[in-house]
Amino acid sequence: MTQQSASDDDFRARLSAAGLEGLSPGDLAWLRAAYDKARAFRLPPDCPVTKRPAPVFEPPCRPVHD
Amino acid sequence: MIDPGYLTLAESARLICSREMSSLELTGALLERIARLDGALHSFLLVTTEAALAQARQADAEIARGAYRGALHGVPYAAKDIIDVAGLPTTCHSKILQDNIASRNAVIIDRLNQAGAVLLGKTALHEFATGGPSFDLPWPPARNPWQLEVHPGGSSSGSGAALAAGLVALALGTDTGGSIRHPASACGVVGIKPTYNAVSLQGVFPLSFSLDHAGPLTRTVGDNAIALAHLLTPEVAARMGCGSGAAPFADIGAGLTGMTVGVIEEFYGGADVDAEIAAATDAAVQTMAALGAVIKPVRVSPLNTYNACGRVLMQAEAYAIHADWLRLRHQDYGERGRRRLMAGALLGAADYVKAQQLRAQLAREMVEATRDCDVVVTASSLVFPARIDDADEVERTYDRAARMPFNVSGTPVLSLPIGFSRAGLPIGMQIAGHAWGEAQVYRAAHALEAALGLTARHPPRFL
Repeated sequence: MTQQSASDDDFRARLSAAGLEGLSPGDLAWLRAAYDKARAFRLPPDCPVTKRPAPVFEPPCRPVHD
Repeated sequence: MIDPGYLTLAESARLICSREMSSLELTGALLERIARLDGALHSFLLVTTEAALAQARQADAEIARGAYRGALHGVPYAAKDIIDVAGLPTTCHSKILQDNIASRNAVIIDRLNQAGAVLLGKTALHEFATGGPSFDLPWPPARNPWQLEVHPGGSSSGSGAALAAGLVALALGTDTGGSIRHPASACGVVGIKPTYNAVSLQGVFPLSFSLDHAGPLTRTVGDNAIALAHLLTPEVAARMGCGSGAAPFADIGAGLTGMTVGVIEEFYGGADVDAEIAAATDAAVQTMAALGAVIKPVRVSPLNTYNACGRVLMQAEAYAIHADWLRLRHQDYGERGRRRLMAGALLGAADYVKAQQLRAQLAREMVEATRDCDVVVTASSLVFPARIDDADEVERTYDRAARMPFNVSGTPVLSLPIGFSRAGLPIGMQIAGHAWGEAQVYRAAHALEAALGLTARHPPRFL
């Protein structure tokens, strides 16, 4: 399977899983662009996603900013 | 009688308190302006004429018997139609909620009621604070008072437009990725996104719970400080160093001498930034230096990293709210709102968790990078607003803004006008602070506003 066809399958699978079917060609094209944009984003190499995660969200009202 | 259209909140308060003008006179005059001028602007979705006049009469009666409540007593305001007011529709500018009547007030509406403020009505927004400007919704989009064919910014479009057109001196907005600061910049008014969680969101329809903020838009920095003070609980106000009365932030007039102002030039230094906006921002920084500020460059991660992180969070959290409606009623959304909200269906759990982890890192980075500064400044919009009916161009402007970083960091940030383009459109700049550092933000913004002298400039069509 090529990378492109795997991506196409993943895109269709995500829409199907969400129950988003029967969309107009315009909606599908817009969503495909959004999907490709999301896939193109890569975390910075120093973002510690493979380490023990930090708390999911640390709003500035928490002591970390004090 | 004094022309009420462009009275500031502070001037209105002084006149009402001294009984040189009644709340009823001011409210009636603003309602007349709305009736006469808003047909071209569409800034209000609902005008609550009778209730406003009743609130104004009550305020006048209380003031007459010596029960003056403070700077907002008898002062009219408007609320973005995403904020619950008991007994009134909260439509979020969407057919989905066209028949939704709020059963309770949002906390911030209760706070303004306690202050004796007078609600004039509910203002237009982008559908669910994300899908706009759109022409396929039950109500038209708000227009920009400076040029009616131009996008007024969003999503708090009606709030920004109503202020610039002199229809009201205080309007409430919400800001998830810049929705207070965008209309503030595009319409030439002042808007603050306070510290995350500083202003209650209870009773405000969510877009993205971890990025959402509520705050005031006004025409001047001083008015904004007065308004914010009335939205805070006493505990939060104390943490901000915010008092009460006509000057709740005591140091607001202390000037820039002794302040260190960081500049995030990287956000607006790229080739795709409008040259007039970059030049105006640099000139404003020079003005701050001339007023005594020490200027210091600040380096943080690229704007695209902040924007992408915020986009994933917003799409995922918004989709969690709208998933059922999108499946069952997707034709009831406008096209732009439907597409923006459906995009969350394409994200996975890992995307969301990674974005939250990145967010924590970026928030820490912002704290570290700005540790030696009192405030930091950067541009707001990187390009001028597009024609409102040019859907493709409007879409292209969305990522060309430097607002999302401060939703990601949760730190306070204010947009104020710093000039006008050759074509006559306002230019805004952001001043951001440390968490709970609104006092420093207002102090810096107040000094810059006074030096620039732009507050008396209004859209000619609405004078």
